[in-house]
Amino acid sequence: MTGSRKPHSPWTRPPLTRRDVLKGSAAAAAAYGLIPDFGLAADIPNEYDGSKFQLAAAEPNPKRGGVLRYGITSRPPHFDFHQSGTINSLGSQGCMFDNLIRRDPRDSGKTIIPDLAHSWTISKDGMTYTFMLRKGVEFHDGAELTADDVKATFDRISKPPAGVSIPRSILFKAVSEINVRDKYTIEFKLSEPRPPSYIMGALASGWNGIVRKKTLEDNQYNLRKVVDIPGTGPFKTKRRIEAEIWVMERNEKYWNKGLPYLDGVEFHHGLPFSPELSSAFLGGRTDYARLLDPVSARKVASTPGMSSLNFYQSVIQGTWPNTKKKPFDDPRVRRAVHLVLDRHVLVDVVKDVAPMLVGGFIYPFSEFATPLDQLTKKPGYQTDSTAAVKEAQELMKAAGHANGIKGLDFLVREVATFKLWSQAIQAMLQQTLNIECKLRPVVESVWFDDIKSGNFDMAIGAIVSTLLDPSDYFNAWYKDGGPQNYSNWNNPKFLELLPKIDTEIDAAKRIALVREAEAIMEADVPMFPICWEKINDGWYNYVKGHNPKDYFGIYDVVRMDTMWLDK
Amino acid sequence: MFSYIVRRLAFGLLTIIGVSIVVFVVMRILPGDPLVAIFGPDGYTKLPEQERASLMAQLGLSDPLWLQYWRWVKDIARGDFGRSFFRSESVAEMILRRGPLTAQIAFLSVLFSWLVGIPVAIVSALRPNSWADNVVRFFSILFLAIPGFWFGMLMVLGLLFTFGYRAPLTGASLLTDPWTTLQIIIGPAIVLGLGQAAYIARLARSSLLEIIREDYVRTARAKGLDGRRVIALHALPNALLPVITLSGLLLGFVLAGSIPVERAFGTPGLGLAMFTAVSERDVFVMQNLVFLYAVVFVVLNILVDIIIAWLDPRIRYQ
Repeated sequence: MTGSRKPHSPWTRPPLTRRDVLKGSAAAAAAYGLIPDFGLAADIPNEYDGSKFQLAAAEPNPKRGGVLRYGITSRPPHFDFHQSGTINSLGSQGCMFDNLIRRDPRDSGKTIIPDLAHSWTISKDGMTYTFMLRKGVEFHDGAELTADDVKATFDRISKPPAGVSIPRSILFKAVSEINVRDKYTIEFKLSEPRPPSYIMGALASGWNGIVRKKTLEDNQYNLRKVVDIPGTGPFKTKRRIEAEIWVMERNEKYWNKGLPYLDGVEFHHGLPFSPELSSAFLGGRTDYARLLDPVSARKVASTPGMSSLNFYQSVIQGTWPNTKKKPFDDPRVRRAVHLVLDRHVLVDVVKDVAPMLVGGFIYPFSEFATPLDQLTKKPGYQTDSTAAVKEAQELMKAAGHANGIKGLDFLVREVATFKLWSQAIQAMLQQTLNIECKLRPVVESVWFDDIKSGNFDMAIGAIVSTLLDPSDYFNAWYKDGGPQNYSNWNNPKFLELLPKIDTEIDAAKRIALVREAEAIMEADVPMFPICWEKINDGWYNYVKGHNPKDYFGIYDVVRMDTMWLDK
Repeated sequence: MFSYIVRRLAFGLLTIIGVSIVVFVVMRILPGDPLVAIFGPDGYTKLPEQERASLMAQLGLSDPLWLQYWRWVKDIARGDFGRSFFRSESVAEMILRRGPLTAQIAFLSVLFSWLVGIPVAIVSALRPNSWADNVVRFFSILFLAIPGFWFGMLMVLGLLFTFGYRAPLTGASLLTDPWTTLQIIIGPAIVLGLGQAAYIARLARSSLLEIIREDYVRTARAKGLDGRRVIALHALPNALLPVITLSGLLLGFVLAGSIPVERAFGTPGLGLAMFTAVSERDVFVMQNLVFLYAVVFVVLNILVDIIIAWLDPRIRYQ
């Protein structure tokens, strides 16, 4: 047995709480480590020396050996995970790669810890980030990792060449230069300030695994067809059957001594919330299942020897009004519809299909959002919607729609939750505002076609972000011209505010700016938030070394290096 | 007989050409952008317009329809079924890997339908309107009415919650791992086979009822043959002619039926591949699989026609 846990190091759970830090101990925080919360500048120390850091499982005596059978959706559209936006890619490929820095799997990904970079410094002006790399790290093909590989990786991510499209390039918009200082030192220079938590969060995203410069060059910077991309990660490819199984074996030369504990991982493909996924798990064909449907999750939770919990996902479920067409070009109509959606009922409607959480325009569990207890006192989020409906009816009257609206085209993606919600929303609008919608269920590809061409009045769907930080999703979801601003919303005040939010370093001031943006969106509604997704995981109790309790999404903790089997 | 076979083959070829045109046109006029499947919703929305156009051109989907069709036909003639435009394996590789499992399910289900349907038909025909006949007819109507995917799901859940059993997840080869293969195919084969058995039983019953009233059956009885021999040697072979025709057709329908049933069982066969391709709008896979299914159906029909002509001289001499 190897990999016994090291004595307390600055990189395990920090002894300080965020409250301590906010009381004025930022310097102490920098000295002791990172604070277990997302998002604030104080979370990230400006200098860190982690040259002796090695990761180990949180449990005292992890066992070595065994193969973990992991049920997850695993039919990647291609193998270039940087170019992907789906867990079908990262869910199985993530364990083949390491990041520059990463989120700690032991504390549910709250803390950022070293990875291929053992140490870093952030300049006082916050414009230069320097990372010191580990020496002697090998890719699966035997080549040594150098700063050139890191530069090639992030050059491609931040500024993809022609023919390559990377959804998260926008996270690195402020990165103007990536310089190799020496073989083991890499430097990121910014053109304008960004909160360190934002830049470090972007670098630590599970999507940003490091690949070889030579691999990129050999494949003209497009890895879509390369099944076995050499990474430095704890596992490497052994066997793969399309849309059935991907078998990984232990990387015997892994740089983190003692890791991984498992001899291998078998990723068994099972669609999210599907009976195949749950039956494979309940029938003992898999040890761990990600994205279980709620009914199966409840069964798992009540079965001895198994565990289940749900955690936050980085996805908002919403309905987009077409603001370029009547009647939704009128903010009063949008606000009226926003008010009459009973979000508590909408969460309840799908409770047996997918777990959800009430929220507004900002991740409701993040400190950037109005706290949930305050939010649920606002019209549109209350359990008793009487006042909200009254206000909505007055708005409709003022907008010249006192008698309601007929014949709205409601575009619905062919997904169980959207179909249920669209019917509930149809009934809510009819009963409260006399708005009649015609539901138009379509497959995913048609939905996006019609969204692109503006062929809808309302459209129900879901969108995802990489970071919890509003600068990521505000630019994508709400900014005019943003790739997921499906309603084509354009609010000058918001657009004026957005660069300030992006560049504000002071955490308290930034929160105030975000709340200002939230108020703008409540008045001039860009979309109708339905709720925020959660994820159900289930596992047999002998699966150890994981802690999904407070994950933010399913994209950041995908390495499986600390997981082990207690049998 | 030779000219009969040639005639059937010529009609079959015409049908296949017609099917290829219909399949191709339908796939092209379906709305929706295949790039959504390739990039995922998140990646698709962030794809620049120029990039989108370039990728469609690379996939050959920007060319005129006649050119796309001509290329497809040429590829098929070369035995190249193309590639899923966002999967690592070619359609031919996928068919070779998954096809045997679906074929095994289809043949096992037909075998199962005969094993159940024929004895049931004999009992039912020899004792018409008896309680046994009524029970048999009730169940045959029941299994005709029950959708296969629903029955399949019940079977999966029943086995899971009663015995904690779930069939293996990954496909296996019949030669190298027959036990795993049998576990994978038995469920779908039973579900599909029971539905077919109901058809077989009803057709064989009515056919047998008609045959046993024929003069030559009465003559056989009059000559002193015992009832079992009369049924087995004189009545049944003739009563089975329409059943053979039906089985050929049902074998084709099993392929179509395998789509929801394989989905219900999570069986990694061609049916599930078809389901996935449709849900992902994977045009090339859909197009080639629908075409393959059509070809298999036509070939099976021709084979049945030839077998029937061989068994029944009246047909080949017409």
